[in-house]
Amino acid sequence: MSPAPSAEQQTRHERFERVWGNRPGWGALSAVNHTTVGLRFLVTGLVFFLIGGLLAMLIRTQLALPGQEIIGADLYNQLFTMHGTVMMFLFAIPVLEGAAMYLIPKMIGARDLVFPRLSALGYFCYLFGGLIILSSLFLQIAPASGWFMYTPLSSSEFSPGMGSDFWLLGITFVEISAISAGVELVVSILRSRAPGISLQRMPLFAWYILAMALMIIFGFPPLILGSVLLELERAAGWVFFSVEGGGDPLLWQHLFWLFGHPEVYIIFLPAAGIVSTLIPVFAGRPIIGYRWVVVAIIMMGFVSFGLWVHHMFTVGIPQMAQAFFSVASMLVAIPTAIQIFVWLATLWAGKVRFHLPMLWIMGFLIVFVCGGLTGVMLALVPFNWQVHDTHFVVAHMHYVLVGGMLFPLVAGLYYWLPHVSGRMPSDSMGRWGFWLFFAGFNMTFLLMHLTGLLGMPRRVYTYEAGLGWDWLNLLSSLGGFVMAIGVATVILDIVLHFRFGRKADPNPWQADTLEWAIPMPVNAYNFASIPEIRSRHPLWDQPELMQTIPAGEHRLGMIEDGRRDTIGSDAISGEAREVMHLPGNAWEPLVTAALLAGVCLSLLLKTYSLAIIFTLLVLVACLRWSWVNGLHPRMAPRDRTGGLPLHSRTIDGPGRWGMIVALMADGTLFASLIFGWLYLWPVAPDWRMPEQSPLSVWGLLGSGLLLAAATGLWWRQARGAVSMGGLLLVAGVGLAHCVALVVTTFDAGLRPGHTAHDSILAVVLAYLIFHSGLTTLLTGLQVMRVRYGYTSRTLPYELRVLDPLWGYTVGVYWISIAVFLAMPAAFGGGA
Amino acid sequence: MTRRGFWQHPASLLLGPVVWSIWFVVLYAVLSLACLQGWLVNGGDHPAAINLVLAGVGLLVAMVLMAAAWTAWRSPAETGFIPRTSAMVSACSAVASLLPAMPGLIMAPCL
Repeated sequence: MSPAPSAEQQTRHERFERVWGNRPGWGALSAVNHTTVGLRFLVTGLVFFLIGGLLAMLIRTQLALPGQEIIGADLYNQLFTMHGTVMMFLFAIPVLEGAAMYLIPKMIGARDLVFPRLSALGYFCYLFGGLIILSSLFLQIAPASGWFMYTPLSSSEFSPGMGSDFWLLGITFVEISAISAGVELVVSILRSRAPGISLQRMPLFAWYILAMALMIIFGFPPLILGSVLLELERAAGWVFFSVEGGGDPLLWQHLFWLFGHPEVYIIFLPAAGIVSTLIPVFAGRPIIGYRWVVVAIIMMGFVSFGLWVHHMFTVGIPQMAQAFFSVASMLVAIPTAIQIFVWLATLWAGKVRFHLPMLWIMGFLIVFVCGGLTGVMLALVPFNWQVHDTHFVVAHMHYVLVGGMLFPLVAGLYYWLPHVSGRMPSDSMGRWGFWLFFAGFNMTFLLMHLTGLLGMPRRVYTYEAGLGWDWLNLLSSLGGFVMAIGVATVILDIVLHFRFGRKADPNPWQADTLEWAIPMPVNAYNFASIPEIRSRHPLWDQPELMQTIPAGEHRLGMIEDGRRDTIGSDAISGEAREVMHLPGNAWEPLVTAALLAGVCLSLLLKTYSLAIIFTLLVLVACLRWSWVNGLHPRMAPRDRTGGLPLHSRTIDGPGRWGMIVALMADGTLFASLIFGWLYLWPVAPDWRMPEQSPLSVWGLLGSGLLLAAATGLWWRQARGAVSMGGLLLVAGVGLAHCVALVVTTFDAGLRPGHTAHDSILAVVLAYLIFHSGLTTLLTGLQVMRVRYGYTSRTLPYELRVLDPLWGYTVGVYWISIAVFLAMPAAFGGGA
Repeated sequence: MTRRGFWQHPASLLLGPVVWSIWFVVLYAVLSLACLQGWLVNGGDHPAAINLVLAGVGLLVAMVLMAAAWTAWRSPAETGFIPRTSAMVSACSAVASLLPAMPGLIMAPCL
């Protein structure tokens, strides 16, 4: 427990808590504070983990003995699909996002993430989406096509019920949460570090999370697109994945694994960040090879996107192409190995203290290295063919994911537990939990390698006796239950420690990172003052921070105007640039997420008129949210005299950065759509390119010229000539462009229910109309804001936020003309 | 932006991996199109000119990236972190660009 604060510190603390604290009672649902939201993610993820674990226990019970009929084939299919779905989408990613949301501001010396309401929206989308997906299980109509939903098995022909729809709509809903977290974390890490934390002083955990967040930005959109397309095919009969009409089921596999393989690293990187944080602390020395770890993170972030086809080695790709992906799959082991050697070298050179978190780190090193080795085996094409779809793959996957994610996560949980509660967990109970889990895990999955090598396929609900799999399955199931007892022990330890745990000393592990300068248990505002950091290991090299931060001796040590604020800094040097005002408790995230849930549910129930109503309500909620923003008096009531300017008085604030990062995700979705087009065109056996383009070339060119004119006018406005009339003209020309595009679209008479060609064109046109409409609408909003004085020639902040959207809209329009109109005209018929 | 300025900018950290990514996509796309469109003699069931072209381009990309790594390493910098890290990333990317093209030296493109 932290030493008793002085009266002055106590007064300061109370003032800060009044501004930063959550509302009492139901008002807590309006909390946007990163500590609260991060912990909510963690607790919710833990609940989903227990549900996923329960499903695993049911699976192992069914497989314990041959010829059992405890669970029928249909329910078994639902169970393994939901187990994978829950663990991957509702546990692994959200929990790590939650951990990142909780830790990142504290580690980089900020008071909150830069878009707190976005974090809260992400949480509610995750919660509601997760509940929608889970509800299908309780209604016994859960998806049953496996967690990767391969077509045509998941198509309406072979999965006619609502199961696949639950998956597609629910997961897309949950992914709003992931993208929100990705945008939030990238901008926060780059723009809100405490003064002095340059890139080379950034904690390694922040590097890992930066890479993870960027991977989410580029990795999730292909799956979002795939899910939208498959749902359109199932619900509206459009053609993307069925061969008849010009689709191809393999397109789904490409889109899924373009997401799915990077996802493994999206899960691994934050966990490796935990390892890279804990090992130096328990080795009592700085990590060896900081720069090498950064190199490994960057390489891993990229190379992991080049491996997706190794999940598709058996689909009939030329051997040489398989060899490319085989080599790339082996290559990714190199940056992984760099990190392993860095960790081992640090342990070797340090004086290791084997506290409880370190035990889990050792477990990680053993299990993950084994998983990595079987990964290299699976990268070899002939071996991959041999064990494809057997329990060997299941065993490998669990070694990598449980070893690479769960072990470090529990290590981190034990490590940061005192930070949250101010108390220490029980060492002996924790050790029991570890050994039970470690033994049970290896009993389950080490043996499963053998089961797979003996030929047992995955996803069969039962098997005959006498195939040599009986005793292995029995022991695997027993191991599963031992592992479950281990999990229960850990949870019990954590629950009990809140009541019975010994009070923790300040910085109980003698850590080097800034979060331990926050008094325990954690407060709502993190730092009573924001210090200048001069070292990569602030608490080792500037130990006085433990006293000077709570004493308010650094920047922003006073609450001004009752507003939440933190420092905005330069992305490279970490020099302080501005004061960022942050929003306080707000209902907008909950309301918007609830309305989005309404959209999701009404689409699920195929009540499309209701879906349109909910969509309009979402739009209203978002516009309302957008209105109380930027220079609105409730957000930024004053200018500062002297010192750093407010971010809303600059031209390069976090909003602009957030817009650019969000557009990266948007652009990836668009690129995935282009990939789909360029893939189906030469590959799909029934693809038909019409001789004559159904689209009016003049209509598209005319509409495009209007868009170009609107963009030109906009740029003039955004760069100084701000006026209501000017912006109104921009909005008017933009509206004319939208109308022209809509007319051209309806004029084309596309028949998306008949051909994949028309289906893709319809999606592209809808995408373009959406962007043009949104850009025009937001420009119209700016007209109003100029009128109210929130935007002006001297205060162009919001225009600079909107600037990249105009550039993006005009860019994707002309790229679309080139790819979907000009290319087919040049190389193969009209579009 | 001057050369010195570029190597001090974090964007230089991404140069090598971005070049690798583009090369990897081109490698896969060109091979797939060549096989699908029947551009190769004998249906691509024996090593052909495309093998040498792909391996050659792979070598070229690797050499360019090694040159970039060398330039980054030698660049005068106020702080060495970003240029040196960029150099290491570019060198790793060079290796990563060369290796996937190597199977092309022995394997039939479309079998």
